[in-house]
Amino acid sequence: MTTALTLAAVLATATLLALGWNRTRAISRSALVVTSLLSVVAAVAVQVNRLTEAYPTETQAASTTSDPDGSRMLTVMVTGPASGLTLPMYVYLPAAYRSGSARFPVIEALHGYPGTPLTWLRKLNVQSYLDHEITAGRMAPTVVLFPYQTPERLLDTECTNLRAGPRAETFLTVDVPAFARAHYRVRPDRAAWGLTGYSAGAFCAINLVLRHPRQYAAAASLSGYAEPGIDVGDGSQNTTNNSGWRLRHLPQPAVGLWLGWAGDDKQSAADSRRLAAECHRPVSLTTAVVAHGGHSSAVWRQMEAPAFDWLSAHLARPLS
Amino acid sequence: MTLTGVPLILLTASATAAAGAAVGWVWPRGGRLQPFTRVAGVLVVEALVVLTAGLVVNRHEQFYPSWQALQGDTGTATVADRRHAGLLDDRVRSDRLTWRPQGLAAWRLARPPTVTLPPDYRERPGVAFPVVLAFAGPGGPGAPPRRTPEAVTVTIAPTAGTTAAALSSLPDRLSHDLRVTTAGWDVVGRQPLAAAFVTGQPAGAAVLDQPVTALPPALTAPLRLPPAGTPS
Repeated sequence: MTTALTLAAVLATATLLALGWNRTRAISRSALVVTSLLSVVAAVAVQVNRLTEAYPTETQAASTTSDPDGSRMLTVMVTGPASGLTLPMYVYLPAAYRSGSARFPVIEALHGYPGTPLTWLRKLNVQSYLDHEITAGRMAPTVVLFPYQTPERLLDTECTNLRAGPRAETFLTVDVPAFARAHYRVRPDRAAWGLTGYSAGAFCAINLVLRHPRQYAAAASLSGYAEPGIDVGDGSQNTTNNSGWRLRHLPQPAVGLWLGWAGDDKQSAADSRRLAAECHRPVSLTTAVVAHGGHSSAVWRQMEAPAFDWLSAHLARPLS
Repeated sequence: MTLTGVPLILLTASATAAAGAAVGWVWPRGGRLQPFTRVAGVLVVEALVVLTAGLVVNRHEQFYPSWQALQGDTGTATVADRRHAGLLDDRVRSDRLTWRPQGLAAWRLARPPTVTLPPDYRERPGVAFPVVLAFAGPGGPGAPPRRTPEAVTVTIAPTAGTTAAALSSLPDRLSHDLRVTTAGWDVVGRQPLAAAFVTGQPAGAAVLDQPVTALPPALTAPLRLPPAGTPS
């Protein structure tokens, strides 16, 4: 609908410009030109927003199953006392959650920048992929959390605690787990918690598992980076918030890493190869490469099922 | 012509300039068709400007490095493995068996290992189960064989002659004979030999004395993508 409206505006302003040119003076002509340009900019912005889901028009998670016995995708609001952030989150509950009293392993799935978790839900069809992998027995029933990593859509936190800015890392590693433990039947132990993400969210997943190995056992990176690419404010983007630096200079923790990238995604491929080369025992490393596809949803759609399967095999099972 | 190459950008930029010049030329002309030629000209110029800007941004960010990428073609197949049956799967008659694998003598154990299977091992033929490897006390009679629900439990009784290096073939032999996972084994035992066995395994393959609740789930074979270094 928005797309149609913006395209109609482009057509309308072009028509106004063409028909009004001979009937107006210079200042009005300038206004027509500016209006026409603005309509084009608006149309482009709407399409970019469609691609990134940075400002989604609908923030409620639409559950893709009408099966009363199937999985659910819930929309919740997480109020974080530790971080001071209050942000929405989407929660995938597997079909098995509906019955019994088992406690489930948990995966935090992080989104890219610019963007929101809705990319997982819409462009990457994550609920469908999770249902399919669990039904096929390739993945254990797992609770998957889709938190926001930034309170301001155009502020890139890379899941760090920005100096004089949002405490995204605290939100994701303290508040979100506390919320999940308080509201859902999830396993509280480290062996049952993992991370994943695409693009900036992939950097987040690797950085957070390396920074919090007592909380997370494994992480899967879909087209990630070795560095945050932002100024954290304390220089830590070059040291402790830099996965490459951590792997090179600090003792490596006993965690599992799955690094996936597209061969023609130059930056992500180079960074992922660099990270892979730095990994050594006790890090357990698995790599996955798709031939081409760039830095796009098509690549992440292809990677997500293998990444979730791998994560499940490296996390503790549901506990009755 | 590549999607991120300079020639394509130059081509669209030139087309934009040419279209702009053409619109400037036809603007005062066109007769009765003037409204249509103007509108069409403006739209074409706008589309070419957006296209050129998009190509420049895409070249810089490498979102879609190729025409294939733009079409969503990754050129890679996800492989759905099949879980291979263990050599002993058709001979297993009970949940407990004495395991006599090839190369057993080299391990120099006091007696052949005892394997205890989870109750549903035979009912789930496509599934690999996690493993608990229990080291019984050396020399003596040792503890009775363990049983861990949902896991294949292997109890071995090492002797003074048993070495971690010799036992390093055990995971491969077990994977050959039974359906077991290759990661997240729980190795139970207080002897230095148990710790040395864990150290000798690939990272993530085995953990010393982890809680049984930390064992991974029993799963069918995962979907896989080619690892790095594999020719596509």
